[in-house]
Amino acid sequence: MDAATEPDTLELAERAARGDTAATARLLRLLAPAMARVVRGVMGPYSADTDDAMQQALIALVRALPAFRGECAPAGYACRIAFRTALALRKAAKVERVRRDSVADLELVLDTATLPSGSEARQRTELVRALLDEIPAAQAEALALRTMLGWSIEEIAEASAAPINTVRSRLRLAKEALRERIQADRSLAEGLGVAP
Amino acid sequence: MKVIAFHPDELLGREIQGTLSSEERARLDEHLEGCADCRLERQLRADFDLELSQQDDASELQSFVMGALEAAHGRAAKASSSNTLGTPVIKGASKPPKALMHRWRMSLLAAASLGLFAGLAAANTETGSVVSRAVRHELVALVVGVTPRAAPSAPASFRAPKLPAPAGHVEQTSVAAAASAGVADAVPSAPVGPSAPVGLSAPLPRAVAVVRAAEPAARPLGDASPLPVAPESRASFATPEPLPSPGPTTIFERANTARHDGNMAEARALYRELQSHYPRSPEALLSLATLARVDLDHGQAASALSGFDAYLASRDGALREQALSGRATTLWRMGRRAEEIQAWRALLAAYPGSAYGAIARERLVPDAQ
Repeated sequence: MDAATEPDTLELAERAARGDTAATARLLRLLAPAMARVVRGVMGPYSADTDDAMQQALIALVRALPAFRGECAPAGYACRIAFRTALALRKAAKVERVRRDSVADLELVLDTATLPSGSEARQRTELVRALLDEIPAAQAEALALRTMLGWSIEEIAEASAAPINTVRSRLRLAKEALRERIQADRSLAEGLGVAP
Repeated sequence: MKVIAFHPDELLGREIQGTLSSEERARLDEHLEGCADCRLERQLRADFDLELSQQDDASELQSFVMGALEAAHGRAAKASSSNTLGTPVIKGASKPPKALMHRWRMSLLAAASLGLFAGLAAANTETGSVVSRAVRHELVALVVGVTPRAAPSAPASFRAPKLPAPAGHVEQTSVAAAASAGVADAVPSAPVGPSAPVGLSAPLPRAVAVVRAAEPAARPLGDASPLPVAPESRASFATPEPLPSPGPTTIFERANTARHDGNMAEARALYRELQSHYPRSPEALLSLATLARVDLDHGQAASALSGFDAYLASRDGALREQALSGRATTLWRMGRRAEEIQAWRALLAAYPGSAYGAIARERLVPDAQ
């Protein structure tokens, strides 16, 4: 959580919450890299909506700052907003695709042909992204912050204002769901040593 | 007794940071040996680290920051913050080359896909298919989701990042705009904070444009042979007149909607209903490949393989290239290497310039795993 360790992010956030535009600008510059990591992680490297998600996440943060009470690190606050904004866009894109894409042909092209061929790493990250759409939001958020940002359980707990054991439980359930999906794919399961 | 219940979370984090001592390294390695959970987590973190480290672009972020300030505070704020930062930003014209490249790639893919189907339609005409030009046009629209004239291309790809729409307004043609309205509208009204984060509390706007292929009138599209009597054609002269049953296009559309909404059980049921009631309709044939794809995505490889085989055995050619690729991918996932190799070869033989050529050739390398 690089931005969180910046000595003045909390102070900047408090000033931004009071409407200090200069502080808001500086805070956004400090938090944007971590937010971008979350947004790109959720949207995936080939999404056409990533730029929009990033823009919307920053706008949402600016609008949410007046409600920030300093109860967690600003980076945690910002990354949760980024996650939820990106996930909302990702889900909206899915709904749109239904209506425009009657058949799986474009998905086949995008899912397979544009990805680095044979990349199990890409298969795994895609699997995580697909899972984010399906599991409860709190679990999805914990999984994303853990795998995409590498946050500790304590950091996630602080950002989400949840007890540490609750975060542990959310991560455990999310990973169980993920493992089920991986085990359905023999090559992935073997590569990870989680074959049934 | 080996204890693996207490996962060394902090060691995983420090491993990525490269700050593990040799003793900690030994402890972590021992734990990882017996804990599939931590191995999985460690692998995922490494995967995302690799993927996301390739996308860092500071200049792009700066333009987004300025865009957010401008949207939130107006132009006065932009001028003020620009002075404060001492780094004037050219907004609007600052779309970074990487984003342009990405969007070009997406546009080219979409265009390539469209071209593929247009080409297939033309080829079918030459071989004497009875499907009319209008029907072909409609089928292409159905398959790719847009009419050929409205192919997704440059205009949509080169738009500037969207700013939030005014409250209550939902743009009808852009998913990004529709979602942004949902996100932006949720922010001011929601009690924002860790206990009530923004974004998901408000329902997503679903008023997006629908490109709907017309329902076939008397018979399914693209089939000149005698047809099974469709339920809607059994309308009796007796009163009261029953409600019309949905036709193949409607069922297909409902199935696709269920699929994209994640209602896989419903999607499967509808695809099977379609295949059962209108087996010779183009929608039913397409649904064989679509359902196979659904099965592949959900780990039902055997069912996926049957679906792709059934589609490839049909006379339909619209998704043949995709089905060949899907079949090869399915065999790959099933670990049936010899058959997978044959499947990739079949794809390359039928479509030497296939969009899946790169992955096929890579999978044909003798030691590919």
